[in-house]
Amino acid sequence: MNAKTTSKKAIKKLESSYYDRCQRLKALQILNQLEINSSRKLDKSTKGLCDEYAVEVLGDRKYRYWLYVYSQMGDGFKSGWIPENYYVNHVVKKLKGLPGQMSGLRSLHRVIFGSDAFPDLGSYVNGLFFDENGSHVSQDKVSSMLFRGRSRVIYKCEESGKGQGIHFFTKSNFRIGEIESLGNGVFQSIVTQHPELAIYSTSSVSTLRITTVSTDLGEVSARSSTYKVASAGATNVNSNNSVRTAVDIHSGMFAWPAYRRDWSLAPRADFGNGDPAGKVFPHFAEARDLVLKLHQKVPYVRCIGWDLVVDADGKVQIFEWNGFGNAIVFGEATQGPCFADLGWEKLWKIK
Amino acid sequence: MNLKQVVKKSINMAETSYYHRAQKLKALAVLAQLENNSARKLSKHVRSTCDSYAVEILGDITYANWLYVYSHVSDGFKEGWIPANYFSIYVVSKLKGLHGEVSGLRSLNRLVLDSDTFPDIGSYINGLFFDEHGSLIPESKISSLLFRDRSMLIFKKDESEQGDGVYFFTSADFQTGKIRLLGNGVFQSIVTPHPDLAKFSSQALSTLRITTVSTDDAEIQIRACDMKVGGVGTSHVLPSSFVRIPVDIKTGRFMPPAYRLDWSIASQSDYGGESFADRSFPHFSDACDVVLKLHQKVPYVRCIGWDVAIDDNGQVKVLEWNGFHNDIKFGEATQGPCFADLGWEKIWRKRQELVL
Repeated sequence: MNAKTTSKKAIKKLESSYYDRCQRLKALQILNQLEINSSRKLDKSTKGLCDEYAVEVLGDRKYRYWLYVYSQMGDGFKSGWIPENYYVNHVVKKLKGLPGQMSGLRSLHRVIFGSDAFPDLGSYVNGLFFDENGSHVSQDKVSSMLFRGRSRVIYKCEESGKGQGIHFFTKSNFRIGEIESLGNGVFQSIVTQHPELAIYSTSSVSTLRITTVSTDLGEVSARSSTYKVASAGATNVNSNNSVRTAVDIHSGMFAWPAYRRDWSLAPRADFGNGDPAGKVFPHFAEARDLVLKLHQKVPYVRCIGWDLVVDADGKVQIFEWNGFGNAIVFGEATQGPCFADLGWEKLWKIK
Repeated sequence: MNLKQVVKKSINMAETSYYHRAQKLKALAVLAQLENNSARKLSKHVRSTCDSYAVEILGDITYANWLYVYSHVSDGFKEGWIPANYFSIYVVSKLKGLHGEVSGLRSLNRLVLDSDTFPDIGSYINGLFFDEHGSLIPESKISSLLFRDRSMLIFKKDESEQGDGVYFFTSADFQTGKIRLLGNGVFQSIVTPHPDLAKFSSQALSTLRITTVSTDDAEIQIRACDMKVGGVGTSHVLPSSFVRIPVDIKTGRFMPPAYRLDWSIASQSDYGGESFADRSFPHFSDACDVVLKLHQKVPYVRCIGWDVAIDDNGQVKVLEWNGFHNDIKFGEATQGPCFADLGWEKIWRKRQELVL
């Protein structure tokens, strides 16, 4: 090994130990909040089971912390859970990798999926502007292309996970130079959400996250689903202000309780004028079928988180697909184990 | 800035300064070899012109080193050159980025470029096998599919370059378990070289590297070209053994001298005893047409290095596209400045404005 690979390896090691430390703090913080929610501590014997499972099945005790969180939510330990940091260290690396990272390239939706399920209007990539079909558009024609038939558009910066990097433009405040300094991204039309969803979230569009997987045989299936609403006054669903609740992957029914970002229990008032408990996400089966159909085009990205909404006409609109670092914690905690049959727990043994 | 960002930033800075140090050593070693080739030192005057150009136009003295190399090959300084390390730091990150990096996914050639000019016959990605059209193939059927019309094939790993990560398989020694260990990549049929090219290297495939750019109007143009000839006794073009010769981008004519990897002048015995003088690369304009057309599909990757071969039927075969860290120094030194009209020398200033 030369000096370059040695130093690279040392840097990687440092980064990964830093990552796992952060994950531990995060998990323990959430555990603490969950214990407050239920006024009940996670018992010692369950902790012991998590510790044992982390070491024996997942290969490292650093994976036990998320198992604590899942156990506290699920009222006891279940075999088959995938901790978030295990997912990032092994599943993301070995079953997603650079092909999964392509999902960050929002300008390629049409190229990859050949579908109009994304509300894309055009894109800006590496100094050039393109229309929705990927054809080059000269700078002086961009504004008229975007604002034909609409007064506002959204600009989403590439690799803008978690609602960061979202900007609104009107025809009058749109400047090419501003897009250039924001960097690569996609223009999307503003979606008016279905009336049944608008009652939960009057100020902005809520989103449904459906997590799908592709098995070792390349068969795709949906594993968990979460409904996210922005708190009143926010213009988009951003992790910092969101409220989440699980959605039954078979029926589309909203679960209760819902959780705020810090995992404290959300009051019903967070859902505006509506009460989602016992109700069903509109057109849920259509949404699930659509993302499964799209996942079949990229089966080599073995796990994808799809963010979508149903618009006022009942059409499913996909905002983004996350094929790299999509978080699995909330699904595992509320609906898991979601991935127990996929053999992911053995990936750490593959060097 | 939080702790995480501080740590990330200092790691980045350490990596960048390490990179520049390594590039400096590399450039100075090449310069020493060039001075050795010609028994002529780079003059002090040219050196200082390079130094002031590096600082004033490109923003840092660290970019002078490759300018020395270019100046020595060209027998004098020329304005507009892009040093290889400047290209990596600014052009690659600003005008290529993740979009360019996707080109390293050999297994997804077809998805991104949708062309049958690649000799691709299947791929392995994240545990799954696919045929040439991207349809899923069960593991038990992949061997019979791949070897239906051939007894031997190549497996090329994703993110591999210049002959690195290339493996040969026959139907007898092919095992899916071996592929799983190697990781993601593409299966390609073996290209039998055109007779005009087989002369230079009987065993290895000679490949043409065409460098294309996409201008600010998304116009695609060819900017540099050279041929790589595998050394005698190599089964494919390996970086340790090849010889490179510049090729005129207008006519396809070889432009001697040819260089070895260490930039020493290659002798005729390095390439099968044949002479390059007054010869051209066969089907050159076809090759240019193919890569220009392909680049039009991905104009947002603003610079691409294409590795192209001509088979024994005169067909153009694209072996790989390199849209990320493609090498520009050989072209810049022998044919440059290749990119002087593209405004690349200003990118570092924009970056600084953003930081401020």
